[in-house]
Amino acid sequence: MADDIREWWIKTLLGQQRSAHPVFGEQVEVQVDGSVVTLKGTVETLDEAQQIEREALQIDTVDKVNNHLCVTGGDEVYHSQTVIAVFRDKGAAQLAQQAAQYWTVHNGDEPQLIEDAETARHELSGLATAAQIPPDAVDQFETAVEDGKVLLVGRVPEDDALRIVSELEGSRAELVRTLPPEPDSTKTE
Amino acid sequence: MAEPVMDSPSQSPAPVKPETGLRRMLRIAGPGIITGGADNDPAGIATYSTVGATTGLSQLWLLVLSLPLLVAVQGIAARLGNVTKLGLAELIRIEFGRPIAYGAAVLAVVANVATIGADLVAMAAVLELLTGIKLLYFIVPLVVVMGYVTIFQDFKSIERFMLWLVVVFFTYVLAGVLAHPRWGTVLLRTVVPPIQPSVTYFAGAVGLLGTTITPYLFFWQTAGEREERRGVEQLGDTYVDITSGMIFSNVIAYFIVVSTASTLYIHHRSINTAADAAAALAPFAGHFATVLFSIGVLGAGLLAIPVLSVSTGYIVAGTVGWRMGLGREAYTAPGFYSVIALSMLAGVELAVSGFSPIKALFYSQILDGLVAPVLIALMVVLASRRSLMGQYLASLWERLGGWAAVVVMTLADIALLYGLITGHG
Repeated sequence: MADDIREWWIKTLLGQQRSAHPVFGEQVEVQVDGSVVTLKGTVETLDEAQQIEREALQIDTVDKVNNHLCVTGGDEVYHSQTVIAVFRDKGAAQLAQQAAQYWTVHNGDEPQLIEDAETARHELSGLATAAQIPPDAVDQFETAVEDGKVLLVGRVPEDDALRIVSELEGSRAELVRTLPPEPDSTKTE
Repeated sequence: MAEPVMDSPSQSPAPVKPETGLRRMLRIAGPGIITGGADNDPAGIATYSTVGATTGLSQLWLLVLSLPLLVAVQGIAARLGNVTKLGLAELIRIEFGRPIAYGAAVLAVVANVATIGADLVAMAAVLELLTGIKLLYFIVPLVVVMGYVTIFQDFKSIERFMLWLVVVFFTYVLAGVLAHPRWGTVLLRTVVPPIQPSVTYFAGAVGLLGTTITPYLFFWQTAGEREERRGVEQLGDTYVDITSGMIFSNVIAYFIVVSTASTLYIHHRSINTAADAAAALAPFAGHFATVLFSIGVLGAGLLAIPVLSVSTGYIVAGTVGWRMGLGREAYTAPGFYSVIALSMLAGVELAVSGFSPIKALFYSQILDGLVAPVLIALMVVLASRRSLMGQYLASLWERLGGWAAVVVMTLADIALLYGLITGHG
């Protein structure tokens, strides 16, 4: 534990100060009753809650910590997943695209129609990198486009991927595939 | 919404979580317990009973050995569903092509239907044993009830129904205790493998492994991740779920072997079916043990037949490319639900056709045994493909466990085929 944090704890426990925690600030409140410390307030993550508790227990005069800190869920990682469907022709793909308006619900991106090899190569290689898969893993889709087929590609929250896959399975898609989920810090519920 | 952190012990910083321990375990372990229960279908109970009756306690160690293999294989199946959001049959079709997918699907479907037929006969046979009414009268009503629940109830209702059935399996623990085994010997045989170089011994081992690591459960497990809507953040929950389910499965199998080994084996009584085992227990362990055993067979069938038929639905729908899922209404996935119904009807046909249930059981196990190592190998390859799994590749432990299962089951197949060819099977 850093010296300034130890000093803050000692002064707080002795009742010599009411200043904010050096790291977590005003959001953490400390109440002292003899050798028992009660923690209140909010922190972003479970790790932070545990860290503050650990700090208190490292002070010799503390025997027990009642940890009533609330975790606000900042440690949750949301994942996105790319769903790719291959259609025989543009008409079938457009039909599925119209039916797939709900892709945009819950922060999903608008599903994109891809009909030319150049766009397919550009878009899919970017998605492959994001999903941490080898770029040649998307070769089959480029080949499909070169053969005159049309792709419908969308990036959706992982929770919704299953529903979308399930819907596409029942459409006229020749093939439905997903890329592995990828952490997406920009999305929230 | 913020979750309050709980009080901690005094001297060391305890891990504090909003939801902990038994409550969390119960929430996430449900599907795994159902899978574990379905692993011990009436055909499986017959196999474990036969193993106990013919080889005594000498194969208890195999149940311990098979546990990590089973967890690894089911873990791979779950991981595939969790990461790709696709079914196993669908993945095989996409990644290996239609010929392999159709070949595997045909074998797995035939094995499933044969097992449904054998399970139905076993259930009807114990009802005959308990009531004295001919078994044929029970087959259709049993299927009507199971078909209605599976097709017309929603997935959560089916899950609740199945979880209640799991309680029935504890009758085997009771039956095992009532059989008054020598616990010292039981413990010894659990940890020390007394391998006997006989065809009976190896045939029993084949049956035991084949019954434990079963193809229909691979499809069920992969689909289960979809039905539970778990994401990659919940892969840890999946492992708790699978491990608890497989431990449950093997503990029940363990007590079935203990009960029949402690009674039938030491009195040199042979059996062929689960109903035989239930009836044969009476002189040695009392009528109550027979009743418990019979109830266990009924519960096992009520749990396993829906799982088998739904698994058949997943196989066919995934291979062909139909919509599927127990979370869907029947009219939105007609192909999937039709296959479920047809597989049950085919099982009825098999059960009432006069085809020997022992033969059905025997051939279904051979098919399962032949298909399982092939499917496991395909699953390990799939779960090791970065192009499919990205950063969520199967762990080294899973891959080793998967390949070990392939090797063990292939050796078991070779031993079985050797027995059949030489006439010692």
